[in-house]
Amino acid sequence: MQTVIKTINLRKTFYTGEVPVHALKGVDLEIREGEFIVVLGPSGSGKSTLLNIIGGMDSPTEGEFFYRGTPLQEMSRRELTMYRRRAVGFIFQFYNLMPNLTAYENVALASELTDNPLDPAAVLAEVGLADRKDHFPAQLSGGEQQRVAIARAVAKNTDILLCDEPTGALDYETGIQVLAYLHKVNREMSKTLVLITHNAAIGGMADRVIYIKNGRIDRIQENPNPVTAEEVSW
Amino acid sequence: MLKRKLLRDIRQNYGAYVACISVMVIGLMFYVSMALTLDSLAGRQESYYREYSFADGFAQIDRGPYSLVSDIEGVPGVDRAVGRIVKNVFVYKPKGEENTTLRLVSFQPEKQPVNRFKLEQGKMPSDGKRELLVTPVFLKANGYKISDQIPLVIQGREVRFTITGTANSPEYIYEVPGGQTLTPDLKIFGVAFIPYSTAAPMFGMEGQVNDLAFTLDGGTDFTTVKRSVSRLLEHYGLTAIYPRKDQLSHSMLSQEITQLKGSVNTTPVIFLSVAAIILYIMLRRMVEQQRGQIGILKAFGFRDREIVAHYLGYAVLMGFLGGFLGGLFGTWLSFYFAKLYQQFYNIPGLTGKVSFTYLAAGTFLSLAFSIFAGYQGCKGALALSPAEAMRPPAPKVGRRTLLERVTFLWQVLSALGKMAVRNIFRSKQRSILAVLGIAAAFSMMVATESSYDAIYHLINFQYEQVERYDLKVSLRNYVDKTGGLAAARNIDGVLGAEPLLEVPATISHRWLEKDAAVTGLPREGSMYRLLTDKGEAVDVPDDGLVISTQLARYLDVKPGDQVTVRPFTGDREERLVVVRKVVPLYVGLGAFMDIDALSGLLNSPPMASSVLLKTDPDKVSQLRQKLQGGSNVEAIHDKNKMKAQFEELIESSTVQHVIFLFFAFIMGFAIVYNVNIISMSERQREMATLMVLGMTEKEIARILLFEQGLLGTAAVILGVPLSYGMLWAIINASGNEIFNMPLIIKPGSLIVSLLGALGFLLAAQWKMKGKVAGLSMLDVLKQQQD
Repeated sequence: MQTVIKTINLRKTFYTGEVPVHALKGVDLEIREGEFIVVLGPSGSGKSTLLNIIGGMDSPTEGEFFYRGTPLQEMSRRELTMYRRRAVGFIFQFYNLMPNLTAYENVALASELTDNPLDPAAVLAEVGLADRKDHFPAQLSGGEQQRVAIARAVAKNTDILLCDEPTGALDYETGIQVLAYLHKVNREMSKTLVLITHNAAIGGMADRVIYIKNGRIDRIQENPNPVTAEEVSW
Repeated sequence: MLKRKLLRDIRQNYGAYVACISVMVIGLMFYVSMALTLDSLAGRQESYYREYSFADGFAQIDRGPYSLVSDIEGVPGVDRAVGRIVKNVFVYKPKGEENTTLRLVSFQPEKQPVNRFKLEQGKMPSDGKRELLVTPVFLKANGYKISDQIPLVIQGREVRFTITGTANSPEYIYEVPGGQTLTPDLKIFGVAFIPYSTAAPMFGMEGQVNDLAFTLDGGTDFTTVKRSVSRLLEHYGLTAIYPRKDQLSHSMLSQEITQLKGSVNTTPVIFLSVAAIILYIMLRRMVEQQRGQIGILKAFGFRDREIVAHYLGYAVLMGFLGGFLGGLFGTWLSFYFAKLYQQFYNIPGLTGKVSFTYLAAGTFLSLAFSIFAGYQGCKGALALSPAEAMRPPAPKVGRRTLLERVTFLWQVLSALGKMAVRNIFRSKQRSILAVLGIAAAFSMMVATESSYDAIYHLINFQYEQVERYDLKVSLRNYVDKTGGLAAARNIDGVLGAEPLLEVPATISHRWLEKDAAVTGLPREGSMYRLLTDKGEAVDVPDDGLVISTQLARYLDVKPGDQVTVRPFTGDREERLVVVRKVVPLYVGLGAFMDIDALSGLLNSPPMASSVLLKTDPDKVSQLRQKLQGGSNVEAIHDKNKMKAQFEELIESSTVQHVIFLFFAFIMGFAIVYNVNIISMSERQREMATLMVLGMTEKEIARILLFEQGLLGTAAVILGVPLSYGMLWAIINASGNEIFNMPLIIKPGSLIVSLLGALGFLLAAQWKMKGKVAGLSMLDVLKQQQD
């Protein structure tokens, strides 16, 4: 399988006031096409920083970072924007839908950004929202909003989907539902999926679980037989 | 501590505050400077009139005995009267340069209860000597010094006078010869005062006068004495009798004062309203943004009053700064205005002023506006309970807008476009205010541009289309038309000549009446043409009158109506004449007839009072010299010179023009920029999300641009009728019997204003791009939503 993302000795230092905070202290990681990766770690472990760098929202202080062999660590703002646009789909904990666009329009907005997008209506139907497509976010439940957000990320038809605590704001059942859709996207559309969470139970669904602690990869656990969303419980 | 928070809040967003304060400063600067100028102008006018006993009524006759003065004083209601000899003479120019007319006004120091003048420099001329006083501006403009000699052409002979000093009179504050000349040009016309004892023998008028002026008893109205005075003067060739309000200098000055009053009342209100709008939007936004903080403050036990006072503090600070700075600049500007006015008005003692009253009034005004707007903006903070305030506001529900019913349009829009449209409707109030503000700035530009267009149109219409001669020679006495023309055509340098007959008359229709000159035009004439507003020539009818739109409005007549014409000359009998046509005319009141029909109306053979000449440019000097020696030549009116002078005057106000456009630009920018900042702070999260989705800063800024484009389009559509309204108000305020500006808005002005509006939209947009770039995706997205 081809490598999609590769990082070598990735470091990130924040300066808040006088004291430097080392969020990442040398991360070497390889993510392969079609993988379902769960990044687990307590808050403050550096997992969000890692995701932000992989997602092109932040740049590393040191180290190298490749997307399909292209080095990204020295890209300009504009190039990073283009990378986010063409290569990455992002799913947030708090959905971040455009409040004054309908579900359909939110998805269409994203599809306007890439050259070979998927049909917004079809993608919405995939996440089970065909009949809710003309509703505004405020008229949808949290789970429905997150599914719109998934559809929005998927519609761009990018290689990688990055999810930052996608179930963090949802109740248990809705969370499972959302995970099921993410799983489906990963398996049926063979999108590479990176999901960060501090919910260890979700790790069971992943091909590999990466444990982050203190800005370093603590260990990587291969999962030869990942479970489905319905089998996860916490 | 709250004060410190206030200052820090301001520093964080200083651009918005600076923009808002600038608009206030501009408004207050106008207010204070114009109010100060108005004060000193009106104040000086009044005291000057009082000190020098400016007359309430004026009359001109051919000539009559000096005893008329006491006869007039005998009329009940008349207080004092004065009789003078007033004659226009030419300054002798041996090389035939421009003709300069000097109006000699006689005086008798011991018998001058009315229309006295103020000796400014030098000494009074001695009785019987060839000595005179001129106005200080005339002295300066023509390069004379006191005790210089000035050669005049009197009764066809050159007579040298000595200038013994300078003087100003309330009668000639605006020093122009007549209604045709709109601005003073002291190289062409000036006023001089000579002793009666010198004037009378020189003009063969011993014991006689041709000009009378009188004051009225307090409470007496001019109309009540007009009839009696007219009857006294009728037999002496009464050519005009009019009240102070129709006296040219007075009416020009009063006109200016009225106009200034209008500006004092409106300009600051426009600017302060716009500033208030901005302030309101800003504070309202701030209160919404800081509801969490408000909740905390309330939870600490701050009272509502203290919290509102805190937010009002922003308004007070800005109102105070705006008012105070505006007042200071305005005071400074008033000195400049005083200088400017002195170029046109001979009012001794007119200066700028430092006035604490107006500084205070200005500050109070801007404080009042700011506090009102500020209170409206921040009263929302009152209604909240602490717990409620600490919760984020209920999310705005996306809603479909009316526009979405226009399906074909709606479907063309991209998702971003749809977002922009819904955003506009989401904050309706703000959008409406923004549209109003942009429309105001746009209209201000259109009105500024168009008033220039109007003046250029007026000049072109009057001096190119209507008047097509080079020189107009006004005669002292009527001449036989055919003979006069033949004589004129024989002069070397004259390429063509046409006669004109001007008859002063009272025109009345029902109970409305107006004194105006009826001008007789030759039917086949081409040097003075009547035109429709589209510029098509109107033929002079065989009989009946053609009158100007203004006169028609004044007398309430339309074509086909009959009016009564009572000439000041001849038998003075009333005649009924039909109005045939109404034409636009921007200079003068205007009533026209066929020249022979007009002579016929006076029961006389064809006559002329003026001759219009086309001249050979190479021979114009000799021609002038020849003409100014003619004993029947009263005045020579150079149309081209007049036009050039007018154009020069307009060009000299280019700076003001540009400043006004600039102010409008600042105003527009301040509004758009603030609206932008607010909608951006409201939508940070949306924008950060769009950035994560991979949108470039440009694309995100474009959403704002699109919104503004829509608002701007709406504003421009609204701005066009608003501009018409504004111009209409300006023209109405400045129109008088002497000249009227046409209401025209040329596509050019609209384009310039459109570019201006586009300019401030883009400038605001450009400032925004930086702000978008500064947005941190990570920081914004870390915050929890609802």
